[in-house]
Amino acid sequence: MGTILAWLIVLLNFILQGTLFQYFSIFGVVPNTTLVIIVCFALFSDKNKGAIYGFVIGIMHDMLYGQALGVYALIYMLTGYFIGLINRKVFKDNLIISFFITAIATFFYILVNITLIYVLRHDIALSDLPILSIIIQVLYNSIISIFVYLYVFKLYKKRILKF
Amino acid sequence: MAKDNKKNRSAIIVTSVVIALIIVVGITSNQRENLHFIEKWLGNVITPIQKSTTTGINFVRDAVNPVVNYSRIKRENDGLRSEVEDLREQIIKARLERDELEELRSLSYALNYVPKEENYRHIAANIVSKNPGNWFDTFVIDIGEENGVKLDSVVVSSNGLVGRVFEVGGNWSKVISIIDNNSSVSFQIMRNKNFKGIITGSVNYELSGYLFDPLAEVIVGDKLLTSGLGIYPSGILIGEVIEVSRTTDQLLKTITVEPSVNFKRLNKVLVYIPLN
Repeated sequence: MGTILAWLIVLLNFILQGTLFQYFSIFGVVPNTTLVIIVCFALFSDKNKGAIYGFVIGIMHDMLYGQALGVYALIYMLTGYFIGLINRKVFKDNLIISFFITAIATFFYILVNITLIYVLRHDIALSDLPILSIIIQVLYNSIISIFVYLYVFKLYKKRILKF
Repeated sequence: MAKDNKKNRSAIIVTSVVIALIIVVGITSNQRENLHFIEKWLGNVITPIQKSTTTGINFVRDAVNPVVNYSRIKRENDGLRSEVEDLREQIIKARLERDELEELRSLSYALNYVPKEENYRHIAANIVSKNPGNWFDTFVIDIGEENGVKLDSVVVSSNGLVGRVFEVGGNWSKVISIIDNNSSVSFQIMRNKNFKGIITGSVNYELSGYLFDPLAEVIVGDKLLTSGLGIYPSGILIGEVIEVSRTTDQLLKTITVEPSVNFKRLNKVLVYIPLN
């Protein structure tokens, strides 16, 4: 039951992220709730499940929006795997932990995206990088992750949500 | 020992999946003719759900928007009113020109001149969802193979050029917009159609490009049209030049362009489908 709920959340997020969440953009930056959900789920599951969640969400993103198949599957799977790897070593009660881990995950996400743009075709110069947008992306995701983490933690403790 | 093995096993699986994915990225990074049936199926299932979500959101937005943005709408209304005056004058001029054109057309018919045929058919489409990734500007529309959409069909809105169809599914297709960094469009300047160039999208919602002719005179405020080279038919409005610069190390004139389409508020588009 708990696992089904987890997958339902994933699916609902996938549907809403391309539609409703577009309206919550700040300076053109849409919150990456997918990344936040992978971080929060992976913090409570193990590395295998974290990787599976990441892979499935990522491949769905690639199929519907991506230009090359597998990029987002790669990013999200590695994110889920590594967070699942360290999750026994972090304090679950501390809210700051989700903030920091999401910030690091978002940096990783941005880095892979820039590499991808570079590899795929476009000659991107360092000065072209939208620094403001990057900062907003990191902060926005991290702040949202605190709230998502709170809820996931609560549901996980009550054993409503299982991974 | 057994624990160690187990630890290694998942690491090995992840590593091999990573390698496989990198290979898949390499293979699929170029535009593909056909999608795998799983991809099509996923889109066919997800798109209708997203479509109804979008319809609901738009309904609520249209209801709430006038109340919240009352002052802005009033200002906009005043602006539009003065624009209507201007446009009325222009209509009169255009009407006179049209009469002249009709005369010339009948003349060309009399002279057995073969007219250029219209090679496109157009269908209106709704935008279902947009890429939430922040780094690429692609979106999904609600028509696909079933409606005859083909690869590289051109997508426009009432304000100008939007992009092209990148991949086609059953009842959906993926559109890559002109502000995506993987898109480039050849343009001509509206004022003088001899000046041509290429603009590409970038990571920060801007179009930038260069002119082929370094001596071409281009000023801020010039309007750009598609030139007809490549997949885009000629004469579609792209945007307005907002900056002209010329760096010392390159001989080309580079320009920054503001697209005439507001990509953030876009929800209806028109797809030009080539007939043959």
